[in-house]
Amino acid sequence: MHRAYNIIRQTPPFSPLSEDEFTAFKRCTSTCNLSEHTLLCQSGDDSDTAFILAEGKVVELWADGVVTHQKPGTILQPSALLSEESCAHTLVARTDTEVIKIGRKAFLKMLQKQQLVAYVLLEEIAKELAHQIRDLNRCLNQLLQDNHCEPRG
Amino acid sequence: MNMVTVNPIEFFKEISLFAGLDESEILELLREAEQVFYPAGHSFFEQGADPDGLYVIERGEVSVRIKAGDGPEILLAHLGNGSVIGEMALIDGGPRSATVTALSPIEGYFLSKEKIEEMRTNRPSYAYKIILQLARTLNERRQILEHQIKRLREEPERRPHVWGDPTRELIARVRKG
Repeated sequence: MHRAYNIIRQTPPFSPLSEDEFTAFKRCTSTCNLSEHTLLCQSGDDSDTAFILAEGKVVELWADGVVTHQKPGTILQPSALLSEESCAHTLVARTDTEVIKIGRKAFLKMLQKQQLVAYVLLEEIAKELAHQIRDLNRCLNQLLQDNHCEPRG
Repeated sequence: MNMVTVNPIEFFKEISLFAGLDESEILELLREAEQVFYPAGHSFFEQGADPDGLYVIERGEVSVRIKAGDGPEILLAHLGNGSVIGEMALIDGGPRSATVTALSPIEGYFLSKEKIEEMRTNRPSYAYKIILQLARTLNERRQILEHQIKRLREEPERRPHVWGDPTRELIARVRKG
């Protein structure tokens, strides 16, 4: 099995999946090796792909700062799987990095055929979005208080 | 006084969070949910509190307020019939992000964290439909917040009170799907 899959196979939320479920997940995705400074997506560009971090470090550029992702299993650019919208933030590999790519079309197919796998992914997506909303709420609070906004992280 | 009777199945069908459920699934959900009645002034939860479940407002109006540090409390929104409150904390277990208070007598439903967890374990296909809608709702809310922040940065002279109406309008749209 490819190294990236080996890594996330040991990591929640993927570790509880059965072999068959994980195989189904692999069929819908592909791996990608990125060298340092590689651009995964640019804010404002069309995107129908999310990335699952397997190894390395990816930075997400927000208007007020930088969020660093390095936890294996983190879903980057999750909204690409839910709706047709442009990339919210620019994502750049900070070190040599390995990600698993999943496209919206493959994800929608998975929703129909592999509901447990889809559930696992959706729960992670919802958690990441909830995390982002909490950060944005803090940012909005701060702006409403003094018209300044501090970056998270 | 004329009382309007709401068919609970029809009511739940109209709520975006439960949009993927069929009638039998909504009936199951109603069996798990507790019907609640609260007077005006009732506090649903305080900002920073641990989450205990989600509420669906069938009738009535609530205020959503936030407070940052030692600053004043800011009215973020008024939410009414068909609104779902407190759902975000269930997904990440984080503290309540706002204080929610009844502005009028409330009729609604409460679904505890434990019941939701049970549904997730015992009826995964059912829980899957809810989480799909929840992810979509959260994504929409994230977009709205980003838009609000961008607008506030572009027009920093806007004071909090100017935000009441657009914020309410936007959040109500998200909540009601």
